[in-house]
Amino acid sequence: MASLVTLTVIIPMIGAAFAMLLRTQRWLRELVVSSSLIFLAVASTLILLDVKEGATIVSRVGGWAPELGVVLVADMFAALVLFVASLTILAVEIFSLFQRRTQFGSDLSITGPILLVLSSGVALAVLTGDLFTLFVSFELILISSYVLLTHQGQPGQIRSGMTYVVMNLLASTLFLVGIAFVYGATGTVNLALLAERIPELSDGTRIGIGTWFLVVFGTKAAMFPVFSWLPDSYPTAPTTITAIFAGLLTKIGVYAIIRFHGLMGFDDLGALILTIAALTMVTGVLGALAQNDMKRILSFHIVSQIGYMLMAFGLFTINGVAAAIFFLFNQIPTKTVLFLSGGLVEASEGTSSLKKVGGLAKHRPEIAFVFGLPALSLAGIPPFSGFVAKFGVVASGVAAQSWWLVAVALGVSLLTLLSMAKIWVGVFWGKPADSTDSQESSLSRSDRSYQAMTFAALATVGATLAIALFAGPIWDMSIRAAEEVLDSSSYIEAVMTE
Amino acid sequence: MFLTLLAISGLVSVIAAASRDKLGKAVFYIAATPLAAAAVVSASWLPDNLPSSQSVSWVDNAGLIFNFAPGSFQAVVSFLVAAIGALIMVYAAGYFGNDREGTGRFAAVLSLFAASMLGLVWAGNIWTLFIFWELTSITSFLLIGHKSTKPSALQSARRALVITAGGGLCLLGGLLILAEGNASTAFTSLSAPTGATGTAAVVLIITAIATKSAQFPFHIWLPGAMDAPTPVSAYLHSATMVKAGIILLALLTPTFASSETWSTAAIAIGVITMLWGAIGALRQFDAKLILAWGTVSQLGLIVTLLGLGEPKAVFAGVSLFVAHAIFKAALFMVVGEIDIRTKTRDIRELSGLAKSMPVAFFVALVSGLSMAGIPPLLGFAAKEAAVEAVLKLEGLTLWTTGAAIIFGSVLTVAYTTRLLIGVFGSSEGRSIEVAKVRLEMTAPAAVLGTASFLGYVFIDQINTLVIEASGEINSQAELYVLYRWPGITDAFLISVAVVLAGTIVGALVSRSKVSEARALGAELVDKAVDGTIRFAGKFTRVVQHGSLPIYVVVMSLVAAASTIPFWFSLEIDGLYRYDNNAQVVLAIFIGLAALVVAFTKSRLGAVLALGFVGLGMAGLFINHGAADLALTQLLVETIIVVGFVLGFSHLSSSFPPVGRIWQEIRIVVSVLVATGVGVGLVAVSSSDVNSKPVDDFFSQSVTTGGGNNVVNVILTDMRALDTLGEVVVLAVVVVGIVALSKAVKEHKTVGVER
Repeated sequence: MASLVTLTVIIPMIGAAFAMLLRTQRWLRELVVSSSLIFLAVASTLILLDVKEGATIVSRVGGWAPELGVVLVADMFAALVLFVASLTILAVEIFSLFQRRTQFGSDLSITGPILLVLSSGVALAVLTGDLFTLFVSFELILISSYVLLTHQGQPGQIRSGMTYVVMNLLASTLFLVGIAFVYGATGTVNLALLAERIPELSDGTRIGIGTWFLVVFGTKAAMFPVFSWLPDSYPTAPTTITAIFAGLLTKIGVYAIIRFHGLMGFDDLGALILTIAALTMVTGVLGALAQNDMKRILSFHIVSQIGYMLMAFGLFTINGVAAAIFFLFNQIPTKTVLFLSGGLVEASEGTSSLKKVGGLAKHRPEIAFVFGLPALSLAGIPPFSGFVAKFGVVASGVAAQSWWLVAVALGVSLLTLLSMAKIWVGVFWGKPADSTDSQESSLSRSDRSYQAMTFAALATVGATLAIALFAGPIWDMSIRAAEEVLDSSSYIEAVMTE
Repeated sequence: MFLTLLAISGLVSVIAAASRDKLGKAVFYIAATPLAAAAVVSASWLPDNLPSSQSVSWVDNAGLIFNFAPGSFQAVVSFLVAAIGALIMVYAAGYFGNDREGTGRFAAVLSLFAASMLGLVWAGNIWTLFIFWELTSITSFLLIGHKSTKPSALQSARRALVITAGGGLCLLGGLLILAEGNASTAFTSLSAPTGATGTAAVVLIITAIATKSAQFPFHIWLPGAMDAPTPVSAYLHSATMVKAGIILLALLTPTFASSETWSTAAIAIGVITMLWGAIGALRQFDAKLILAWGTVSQLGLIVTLLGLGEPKAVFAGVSLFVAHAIFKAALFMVVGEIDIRTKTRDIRELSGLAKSMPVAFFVALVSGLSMAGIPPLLGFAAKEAAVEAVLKLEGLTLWTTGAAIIFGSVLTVAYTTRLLIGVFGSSEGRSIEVAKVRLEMTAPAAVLGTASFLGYVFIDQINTLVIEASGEINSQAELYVLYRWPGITDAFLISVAVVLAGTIVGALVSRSKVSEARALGAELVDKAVDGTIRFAGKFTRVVQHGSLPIYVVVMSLVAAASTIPFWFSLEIDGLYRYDNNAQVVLAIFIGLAALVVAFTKSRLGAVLALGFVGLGMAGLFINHGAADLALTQLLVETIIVVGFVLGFSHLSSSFPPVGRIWQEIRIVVSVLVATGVGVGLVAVSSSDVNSKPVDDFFSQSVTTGGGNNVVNVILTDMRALDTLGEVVVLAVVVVGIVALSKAVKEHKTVGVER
């Protein structure tokens, strides 16, 4: 099992290398990309099952002791996130296999391989038990996402790519400085050892490290007030790319916060995190309400939902952290499929602007379905999985008696529903647009790539419904993950025992 | 059984949606089947043959378990919901007629709504109820906006959603507080929370009830919801959606029986709603709106009676609940039929329908009289119970709540009279064309019309049901019965007076010019929502201004602020400063070079100075004996400088000028960040947690790694994964640059061709 954990990081990289070499053989290349992603999905499923039955899997890469080498750790939290992330990437890959043909002006041969690099970065970020390796994984994710964002070379993408890359490189620089802080204070970058040593630091140093990394990971997570890069850059990317970004990238930031700040026992940062969470929720949802474009609305919602996760986490209770983990788990496919529905709207109408589209419920009911169910889930309407997530968050708020947070969460929830209704009314109701100018770029329903895209999107919707169906076991796993995150001793023991 | 029925409804809904209008109105008969089955099943539960409860686990450990356990009250409601639902489906078939457009979607959503409503009614614990409660909000949003090309329908749908979903969130909050203090969330075993949080729970739950059951001031969504096709109005606004709040009120009454806040709040909003709704009904000209406002008023009355909590009042409330479901659905159906057949619902235009639509007239007359409380109809018996309940009140309550109920009854008779005269009465000089009868619309209405009469005839059977049902809300309510003929009692005399007064008022108002009621509250809600959206726009333009330099400044300041805690661990005294003087020289050298980078105006100068910074770093490495690190650093610096210089051929030789303010901001931000990082580094250096890991590296590098150069062993063995990652990063950069330059070139050529 331990070697399988390592392979989930390595195989996509190797796949990427081979796929790069096969640039001219389209089908062979797609085969390599797809099979690498299928491997990732299967491997992460096996890992999840194994972790669920037994204990945390630790892989010492190269056989070095944790003090010297790099360890990969698949505990419950990592296994859950890896599982849902790899399945989501696979679904998007199927979607984009057919969408790529329709994209104009891009070098199609590189999206597959770069997507693999991104996947490997995500797997590494989730699995690593080492702060510096986490930095490397962030680099992998950042650079591959930047290439995916801009490779079509459209002026708008390059402009927004600038914002994206500058902000994220700045965050990377801060990350490096943070590693210097941590290494200087403790003499290690291994997370398990840090979990032992950081709580022993003097309060000022310890909290300083905590706040510094909150800024670093928070920038990745698009948390208030360092979220602005996200709504500016995401909507300009090709839809499938945005779908992956939306599902995964910010969530990796949240993952890092939960992992790092949870493991190091930064309970005393709780109040700060809660305040930031509330501001993030409100800013995000207000931003969403103000937009008139489906993809822009959804982009702002990414920010808003980050707030929910931070809020639940910031309570530092088992139920709160479990709710954050469940929320995270649920957000990855939900957010992705919402952007895919945006992609379908674009494929069908040539634009996703609320003012130019209308009446889609009538003539493209399948898109209404693909959008409608995840939208309800996002707004936390039962019996969808988003409800369980929201329920968990609010319930843990009530249990912790953080009344003002409960109020903010519920209010934001209403505004979320309102903005989903705004999309619904704008895109799916109303009069069909007399879109003479957009017809050329639209796909008819009989088009094979449209059908395949719809199929992939429906499959992802199915995945979100499966989360609702299996919410019970997933919740139980989240509880276990939360216990492991908050109780560092189990993590330390797993990593340090040979 | 519960789950099976719901699953069948869901399946039917999927079939209806998938049929995509191809089935035409036949789809409604398919949709009616599961509801008819549910009605039969519910009937088999009555009067006291209740089914055993069923639990379905979901997120058990978070407390979310589906539990269906209808009691007597819920069994009665379940029958009403299912039976009226089945009739509505038949009615919808007539309503749509040969117009296939949207039938599949409509039937699908209406089935889903009916199923959600049944789930809500059967709920045995608070979360089951909540889940279906939310589903009814969403499905009713879809139903109200069904005529989706009509802007007013969209506006109404949004308004209803905001109000009912907002109520749903209040309910979530309230129920969470309730659940927090209870081990079990079953309705039968709840105990009320106390203290301030208890009051909060009561306020939240009552608010939720008010939003769902259209109580003042949340009633405003209901008249707007009349934009929906009439089957929706007849179903949602008679037996179901609006009753959901009352069902919850009834189910939680035992829990909050001793809560003063609970009953006071319920009575207060109930009374205001009852009067305000009745006045509203008197001011409308659209027959459907008269009914809508009438519904608001009736709901207020039921909420008031349940809120009173006295056995007799509860008994009367449940009786009215049953009677209202029957007569209001029938009245909506008749109005819908009139709308379809005459193309108008305006009582100023309608005339003489008593002759041209005799069946409709009969149904409306029977149902209207039942609403007004006139024998021989079920509404009479229920209204008598209400009046008797009023007479049981004492002191202040009698003269406030009691008087209000009586006054509300007068108004009810008045708007009923006005409706009947306005729609069916003849007025000179007006005649209206009537299209031919639609049996599928007339028949269900006739069934419900007859039911109001049969309910009176079989009052003993109704009594058994109502006694059982109300007994569940208040155990002493079992003592009362509905009378077919009470005799000449005080209550009866009051009723006669009420009817007389009401008829006179109604007859007067029906012909006089009243100013049409403006939906003031509705406008307020719309304005509030639009205002929120506008505020969101302004707010977002401030925080999301799109300027990268500002983003960078914000982020840098946040980073600087995050170093504040380090100040508290700053220990200058014990600080280890430097090893030898060469380090000091190099440090000064690096610092100076960095200053040059920051202040020079020439690009080339800045790059060269940056190279010197690197050179200084290499010097520091050498000073520590790390020759290969220094070599690497030098290589990197050389490449960077060469790369920059090559890139400069496209740029001007000096930096673009920067405004004075920006220059100052940059300096301040840089100093702050530098200070923060500096303080941080000093603080961490004084940490004593630092054990000495470097020794391990040296020994293990040779023994295990097989290399004398520890840096090499770290890079290629100990942390090989990191190295691999960074190599891949570089490869991706190369690929990205090539792809980007190709794409940009392509864009340029395409641009030229066009």
